[in-house]
Amino acid sequence: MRYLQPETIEDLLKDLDYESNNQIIAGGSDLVIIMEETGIKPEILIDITNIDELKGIRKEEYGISIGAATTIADISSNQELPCCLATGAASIGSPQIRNVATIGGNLCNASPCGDTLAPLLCLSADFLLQANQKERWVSAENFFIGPKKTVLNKNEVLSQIRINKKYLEGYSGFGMIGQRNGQAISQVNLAVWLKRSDESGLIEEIRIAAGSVAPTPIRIPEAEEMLCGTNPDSELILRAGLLVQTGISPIDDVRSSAEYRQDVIIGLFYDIITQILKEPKSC
Amino acid sequence: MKKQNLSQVGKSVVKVDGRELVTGKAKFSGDFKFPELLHGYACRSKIAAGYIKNIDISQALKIPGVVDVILPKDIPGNNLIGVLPPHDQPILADKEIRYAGESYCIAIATSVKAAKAGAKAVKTAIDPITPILTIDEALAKSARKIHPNGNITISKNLIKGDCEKAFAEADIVLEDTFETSNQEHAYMETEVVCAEPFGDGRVTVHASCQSPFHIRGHIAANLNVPASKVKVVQAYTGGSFGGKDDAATEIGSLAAIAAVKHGKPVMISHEREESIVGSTIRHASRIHYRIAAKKDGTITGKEIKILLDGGAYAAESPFVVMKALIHSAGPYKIDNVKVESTAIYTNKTYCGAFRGFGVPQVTFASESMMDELAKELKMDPLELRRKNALKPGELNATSQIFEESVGIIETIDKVIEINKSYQLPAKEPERYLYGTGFASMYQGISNGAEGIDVVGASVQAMQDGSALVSIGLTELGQGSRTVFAQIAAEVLGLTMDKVIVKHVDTDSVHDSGPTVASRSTTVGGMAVFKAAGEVKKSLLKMAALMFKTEENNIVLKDNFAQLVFDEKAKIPLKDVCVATYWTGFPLMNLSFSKAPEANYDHDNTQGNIYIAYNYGTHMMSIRIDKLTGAVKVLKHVAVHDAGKVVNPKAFEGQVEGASLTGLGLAHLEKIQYKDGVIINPNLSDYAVPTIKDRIPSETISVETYNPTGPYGVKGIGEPPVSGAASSFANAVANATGIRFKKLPITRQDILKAIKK
Amino acid sequence: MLIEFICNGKKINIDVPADMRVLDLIRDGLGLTGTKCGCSKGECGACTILVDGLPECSCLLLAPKLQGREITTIEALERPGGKLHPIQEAFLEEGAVQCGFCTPGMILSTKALLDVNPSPSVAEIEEGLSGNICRCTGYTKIVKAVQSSALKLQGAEI
Repeated sequence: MRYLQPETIEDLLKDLDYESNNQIIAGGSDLVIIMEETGIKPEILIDITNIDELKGIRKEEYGISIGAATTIADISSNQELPCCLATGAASIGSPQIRNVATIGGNLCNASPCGDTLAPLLCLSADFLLQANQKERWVSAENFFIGPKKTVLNKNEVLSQIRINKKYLEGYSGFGMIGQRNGQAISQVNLAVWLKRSDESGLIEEIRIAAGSVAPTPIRIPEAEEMLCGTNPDSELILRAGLLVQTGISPIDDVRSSAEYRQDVIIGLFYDIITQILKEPKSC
Repeated sequence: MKKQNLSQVGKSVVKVDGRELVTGKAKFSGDFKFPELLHGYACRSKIAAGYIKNIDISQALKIPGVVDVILPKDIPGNNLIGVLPPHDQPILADKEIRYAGESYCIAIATSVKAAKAGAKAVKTAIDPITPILTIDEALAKSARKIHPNGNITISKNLIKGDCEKAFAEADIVLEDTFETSNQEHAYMETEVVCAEPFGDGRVTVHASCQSPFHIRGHIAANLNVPASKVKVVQAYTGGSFGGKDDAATEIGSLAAIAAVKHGKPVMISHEREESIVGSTIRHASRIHYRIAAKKDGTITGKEIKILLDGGAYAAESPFVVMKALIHSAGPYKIDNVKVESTAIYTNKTYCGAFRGFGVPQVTFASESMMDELAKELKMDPLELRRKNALKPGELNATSQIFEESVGIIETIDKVIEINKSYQLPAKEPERYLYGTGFASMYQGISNGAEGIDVVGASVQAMQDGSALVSIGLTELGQGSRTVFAQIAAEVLGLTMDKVIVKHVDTDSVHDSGPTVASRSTTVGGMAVFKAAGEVKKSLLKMAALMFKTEENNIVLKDNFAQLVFDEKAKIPLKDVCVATYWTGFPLMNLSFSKAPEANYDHDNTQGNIYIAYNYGTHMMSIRIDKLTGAVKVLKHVAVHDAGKVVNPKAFEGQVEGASLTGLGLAHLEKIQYKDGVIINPNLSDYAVPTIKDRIPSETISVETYNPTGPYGVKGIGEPPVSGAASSFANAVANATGIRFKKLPITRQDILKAIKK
Repeated sequence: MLIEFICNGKKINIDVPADMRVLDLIRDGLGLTGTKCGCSKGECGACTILVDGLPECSCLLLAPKLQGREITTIEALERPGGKLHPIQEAFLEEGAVQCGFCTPGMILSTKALLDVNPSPSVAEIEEGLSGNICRCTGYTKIVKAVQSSALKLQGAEI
């Protein structure tokens, strides 16, 4: 097996184009397990974590740019990033996993329970997919097409995640529940972003995204509509929660029954909204 | 509690083998390096039941690095594992697959990678048959026979008094059925062995194991050689909890067979998934429980039917059946008890010994029923337990009487006291439910009815004033080596740094039976106590000569022999040892401790069975999130009568660890099957508790003096599992008003029930 | 593939297959067996090492990842002359070691935590060690050992 460690995006894209039978490796926390379990080894691994341009969280004019090879640990501790993304990242695995896993890896692995997926959908993020001599921006909405399936082509790399500055304003939150308290894989996760009017205090805009409840992360427009333009009390939040419940289509799997996912999402939703409205600055 | 003037026993000394563990220097089985080491990797069935039609190893042998594929026909002796009759378990499945994950051949190669590739390249034809996956399927009249003698492994009865009469005359009769699920040991180190062949025709097997002598016997039988041709060396073992021996025998034999055949060392190291599917797990159970009681709360009868789902092979089922049988009535004085305990075969991973050994399952049923009875009688649940609890001199369920060391009432009283002053919080009642649960339990110490219960230990005083302790019981993390050192140090007046406890290998220690049943401290400790006592006699005799006085004027203390009436008159023990050596008094002694033989009626299981019982009462207070079903344990108190506590800190560690395992059984851990295949064979989807799931266990010891243990000791390794699991279930019932009759009670189960 | 990195302060130059796991490189290539294999999936933390001071599961790292990095295994902690590191002492004194298999990983995670957070709260301790599973102790004494370690390390600095 050959192991390439390009140091620039240019070299990476050339490697991707030139080499067939290649596989991108970022942190490796998903890939190495797959390789161990299946015994299948790609002919060529292209490690993207030595490329400085792919690492780091940068404030730009349009908002924030996150390099795909930025570790989950760095995402979870970054103060500039919206709460829902930082908290989502902090829920992943354990400190050991977070030090190695990358946001790009989490997105491209596209497991429905990946904890950065719903937050980025919620924040209307865009992903830059680059190939040699080509590049395209794909929204989070369009990037995921099924469990562990994305629109990423063979010779492409997801290099950058962009969050528009609009979503850096307002407040957001994230919640998840797993089978246990530590190192818990999400049975359900939920990200909410909202903006309140400075004058009236009413919710001007709200975006709700849920993960692990459908083949891809999904928005819940019905619940968003109910809360938009309101200053919701507990009762309204719960009623919106019921719409979240009906807006998801979870399945039974080894980690959870569909019924539990359906039931528990109301509690998650209630907690997140309440938290954002009561203590918006705490993350 | 008898007052004893002790200097080492009763102290929280540091673990004697701790240093090598914190530095990473301790060698576990997989840490050894051998030149030309070969590796083994098994082929395992992907289906739960089938007939093996053909195994084609030709492609496997072509894989670079693969030197062999061991098949059943390559086993020189019997193709059998298992420590007990009916000896129904093959090392390698030959004609029939009985559980998903069962191995039928093993590839031997120069690297793990190659061995895995070799195993993968074996072509197998297995005709699937419909697996039998539940107790009911197994017991159905037309059920296929998993074993020639049918699907009942073994059944035992306990009959005391006249249950029919008691139930007929009762004021109240309650009955219900409870179930528990399988539980996985999940020790951090999986099963690992390494077999080393020697030029003299012997083979040494380094193993992560609990009972090296049992394993030696079986490996020798499988190799078709006398036991003396096999040496088993217990490496540092990363946890066992009862679970390693069957698998260690299996892979120990295979490694030895391959090692002897090829003249090279062979290592077999289970991956985590193999460890979960291919080695024992805790029996699942279904328990039908009837209680007869008087209006005043006196329980007059218990009729219990226990069905244990034991998986594909008998393994330790016969003993688990017995233990469940004996403990199912609980630590109470009940005149009329009728129990039937049966293990059933199913086409699933075979079940065996796991910390608690049948007692957690029956305690859950028993203690749930006690709370139901209390509710029915409108009695306080602790008062009901106290009213019926055993007192010294009373007959327990097997009609055994203990005149001393029956501390169950003391443990209940302690919990009553704590509960009185504990205020269950009531914050945010719209969001949370709060509840407290109690459970009383007992656990017989040592092998009891399970066979001859003997331990041999030797103590040797050295000329540098140190002592070497040798005993066949194994250190698995529970601190037994430290306890033995403390006892030897106590007897010989040594400080802890002067006592060395040997590693266990079958050439150099006495066969002391298995390290199970919480017997190390009592039966094992007694052997060390006796042996040290004999060595002490020599030292006193010598010191008396050196002091020119009577032996009873001398005391051994702090590495000195000193005069009782003049503290300043002392001789270093090392000088005494040197003199003793040259004088020719024996500096070494081998002593045996034999538990009084279990003497009982085998048909009714009435008579003397255990040398002692550990008694305990737990209290657990919890908070349930009504929106998620998540449970937070707010308070957990584990009160135990474990006799004299030898090492308080280690004692707490045992209680804390066992309690968390009990919580896992009751709440977090669930092995899930699909068509008999375990679908969550990993430490994530099988939710072993992490540090964020820990519970705030407080350990309280109510010390009684057990006459059958040195210094009054009993054991503590297993009992807290039952206490924690059962008190959790009762806490959930108390908080929700709903009786959950199946373990584990997960968040999902709670939310589903309370939302109704 | 030729890899150059620093292990426990010592420069290592080693030629290994690119798909070799760092866990195997450490145990077989370097003969340092203090780092353990518990699950091969990054779920148990027994294989934890520090990479540039950060705790990572060595079963999930491929050898080339070490190029130019500095790793610390449990073997680095014992001080010259056989004196134990304060964290090792604390684990022993508090009874936080039973079978010892999780201990090297647990101690390294503790070191990583205290290096950045010298006075962690109980919640921070639990979060910091959430990637290390122990089946023996029930974790309570481990938490106490971390607290004791923090005090010892602060005392040492003073």
